[in-house]
Amino acid sequence: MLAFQGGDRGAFEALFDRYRAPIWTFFRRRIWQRAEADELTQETFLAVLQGASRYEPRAAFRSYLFAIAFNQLLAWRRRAQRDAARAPEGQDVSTEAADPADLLWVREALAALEPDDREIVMLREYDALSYAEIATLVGLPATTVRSRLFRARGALRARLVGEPVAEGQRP
Amino acid sequence: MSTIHEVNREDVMAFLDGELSGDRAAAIRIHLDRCPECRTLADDLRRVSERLSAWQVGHPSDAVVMPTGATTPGGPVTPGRSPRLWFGAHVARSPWSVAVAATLLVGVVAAVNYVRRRALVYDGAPFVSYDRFAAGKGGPDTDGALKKTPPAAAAPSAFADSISAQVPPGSALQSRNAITGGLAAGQPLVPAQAGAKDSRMIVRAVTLSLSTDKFDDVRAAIDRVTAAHQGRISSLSAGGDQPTHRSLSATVLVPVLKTDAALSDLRALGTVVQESQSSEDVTDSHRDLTIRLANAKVEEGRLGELLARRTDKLADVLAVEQAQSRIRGEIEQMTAEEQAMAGRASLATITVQVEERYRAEIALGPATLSTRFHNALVDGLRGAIDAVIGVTLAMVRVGPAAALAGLVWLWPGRWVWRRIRQ
Repeated sequence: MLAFQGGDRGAFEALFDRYRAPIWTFFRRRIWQRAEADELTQETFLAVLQGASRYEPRAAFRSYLFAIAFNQLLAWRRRAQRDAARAPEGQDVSTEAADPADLLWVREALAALEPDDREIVMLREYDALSYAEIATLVGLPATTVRSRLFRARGALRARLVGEPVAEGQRP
Repeated sequence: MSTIHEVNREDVMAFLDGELSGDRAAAIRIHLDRCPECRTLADDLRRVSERLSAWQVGHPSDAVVMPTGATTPGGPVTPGRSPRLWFGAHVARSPWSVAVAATLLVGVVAAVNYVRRRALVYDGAPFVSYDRFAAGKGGPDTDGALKKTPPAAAAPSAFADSISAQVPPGSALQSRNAITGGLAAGQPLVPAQAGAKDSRMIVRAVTLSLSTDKFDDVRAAIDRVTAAHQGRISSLSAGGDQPTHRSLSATVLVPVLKTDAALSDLRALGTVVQESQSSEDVTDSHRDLTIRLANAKVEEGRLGELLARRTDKLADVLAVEQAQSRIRGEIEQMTAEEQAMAGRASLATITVQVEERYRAEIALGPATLSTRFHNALVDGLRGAIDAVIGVTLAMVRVGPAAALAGLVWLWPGRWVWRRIRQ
C-alpha cells in the first residue's frame, strides 16, 4: 500500500489480486445475492483507492482492508433493513460443498448462534482474522472477543461434532 | 468440562488459533500432552473448524474487476465494473444520491455552457461564430485576438480519448466512442454546404430593428441584399397606418459565412433601433443524432440478414419484419431531423423589422410656430375624422344586436311603463 501511495500502480494491482477472493468470500457468506457481493467487493477496493492518500500504516493492510469491508457490510445491512423489498441475507446462498447435507448442517448451526457470536466465529474461521483484528472490527475488547468466540465454538461443538444426523434428530 | 485446571480452556482455543506467545504456547502444548480432557477439547475444536470448512462459496466472478482510472493515490478513480451493476445497485439503494448526482451533473453542464458562451463573446458583440476561428480571416469584428483556438474546441477529442481508455474492448460503449472519436479526430460534422471547417455546429439568429424615412425603398432593398448574398426570404409581411407609420417585417436566410456582410448591408437601410444576436450550439445534439442514425442503420442491416435467411419459424420472421419496419421509420425520422438540423446550422436567420419614422405630413420644415399650429390642425382634423369613423364602426358593430335587444324588450318595457304611469 505504501508503494501505491508512492505512485506505483502495479502495487495496487498486486493488492487487488491478493485480496480480491478473500474480500469477495467475506461478503458472499453473508449476503445471498451474488451480484450484491460483487458490488460490495468493488466498492471496498474503490474505497481503498479513494482513501489511499490518507492511508497510514498503523496496522496490517489486511486489517485495514477488512475494516473497510466490514463497514461496507454494516452499511449494506442498514440499507437492507430500510428496504423491505430486499431479501434477507443468509437466504439461499449459493455454495459449493461436497455434501449438501453437511453444508445445511453447518449453516443451521451457525444460524442458531447469537448474531454477534456468529459474526465473531465467521471472522475467525472463514476470514482468518486475529482476535485483535476482530476486536477492532466489532468494537469490543480482545478478551471479550476471545470469550465470545469460545462460547460460540462451544455451541457449535455441541451441534457439529459427531456425524451428521438425519433431519429431526439434530440437536 | 468443569474440572479445575491450571490452564484456562480459552487458552487451549487461543493456542490452536496461534494467538499465544512462545512461552505460553509451550506451556499449553505440554499441558495438552498430559491432560486428556483438554486434548479432547482441542480435538473437538479442530473438528468444529473442519465441519465449518464444508461451507465454501466458490470464487468471485468476472464482474469483480479492479477499479481503473487512478494512476496515483487519491486521483480520479472509476469503479471498473459493468454499467448495469453499478447503476442498478445505486439507483435501487439510494435514489437521493442519484438525484444529487443528477443535480450536480446539470450544474456542471450549465457551467460548461456558460464558459463556452463567455468564450464566444468578444468586444461587446454577443456572438462570434466558430467558423471565424476556422477561417481565420479578418472582418469587421474579427481580428487576431479572435483567431486563437477556443478552449472548447479541443474538449471533445480529449473527452473521447479519456472515455475510450476506460471502456472494455468490444463493448457497445466503445463502439459509440469509436464513432465520436472519429468525429473528433477531424471528420467534418458540419455539412459541406455550411462551408465551415470547424466541427462545431452553431445555429445563429439575428434580429434587427430599423427606422427609416425611405420606407418605399425598403422592400426592394431587402430583395437586393438577399439576392446579393445568395440568401432567400423565408417570410415577409407589411402593415401599419399608411401613409404616416408603416412597418415591414422580413425573415431572411443567408449562408453563415455571408451573415456579417448581409447584416452590414441591411443596417444601411435605416437607423438601427435595436439589434440582438443569439447562437445555439447543436454540435452534441447533431452528434448524438448521427450516432443513433448509424446504429439504426446497422441494426436494420442485421435484421435484413436475418430475414434473408428465413430459417426461423413464421412467428420469428414476422417479429423480424415488424422490427425492420419500426427501425426503418426511425431511420427516416432521424434522417429528416439530421437534415433539418444541418440546414439550420448552415443558414443564419436574420429577422428585419423596419418601421417608417413617424411624421405629420405637412411638418417637413423646421418647427416654427405656424408650422406647429399647422401640424396641430392637421392632427386635430385627423383625430376628428378618426372619431367619426370610430363611432360609425361601433354603431355598425353593435347596431344589429341593439335592434334585436330593443325588439325583445319592447313589450316588457311598455308594460312596465304603463304600470308606472298608472
